[in-house]
Amino acid sequence: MLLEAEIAGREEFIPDQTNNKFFMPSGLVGLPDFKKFELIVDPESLPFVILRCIEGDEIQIPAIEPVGLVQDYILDISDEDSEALGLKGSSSAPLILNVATIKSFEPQKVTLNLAAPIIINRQTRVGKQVILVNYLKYSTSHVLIDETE
Amino acid sequence: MLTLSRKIGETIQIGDNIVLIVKRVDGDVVRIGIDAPKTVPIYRGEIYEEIKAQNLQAISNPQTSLTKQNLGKLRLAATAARSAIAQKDGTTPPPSPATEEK
Repeated sequence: MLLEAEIAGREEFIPDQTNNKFFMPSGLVGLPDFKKFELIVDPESLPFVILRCIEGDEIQIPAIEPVGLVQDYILDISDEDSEALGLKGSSSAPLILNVATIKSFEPQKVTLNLAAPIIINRQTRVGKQVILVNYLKYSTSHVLIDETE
Repeated sequence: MLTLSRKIGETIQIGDNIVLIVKRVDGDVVRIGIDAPKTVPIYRGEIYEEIKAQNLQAISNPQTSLTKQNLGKLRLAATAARSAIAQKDGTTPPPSPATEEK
């Protein structure tokens, strides 16, 4: 199934402001032990958010909502992944986040993993880091701001 | 690990629904055709390692550095990046969610 990164409106960013928790049954790619997360959203940091693991070792992963930041970002999701996330027939668009690697707080040193976005079903709060079917089109380290432009 | 020798054009059947066929061998490059149901995701092995490496790198930055001030700097950069892309596309940039609220 094809998803397009669309802005879904702030009220939908998290369905319930008092509970930002979500569950990733298979963890992150290569890090299967981190399953329970809390989404930390600070209006002054958006579109950057932080995923904080709330179980076991405390880790924090910066991520970004890619809307408008990447040209022609079309996410092709495998049937298996879209089923695991319950996306078919879901009434609202899922939350799409890309893991951000922040080597330093200079914009040129920030890269986004576009090949494997984290997709979260806003209703069920089940998330998964999916490898896109069309992953070859996208980089795992897309530079947020390209200096050469 | 099960290891099989195959010639060009020969196949390997995995379960009921997956067939691998050796299509061409060119030096150290082997082209393999894969016939599998659409529900089975197929990726080159390296992509997993690459994503894992990115994830590890993403969590390895000093945790205390993810402060409001630091992320705020990047927020401005992201806003600029949006405008630049919108200009290329000839569209208006989507409003940043936080400013929309005000």
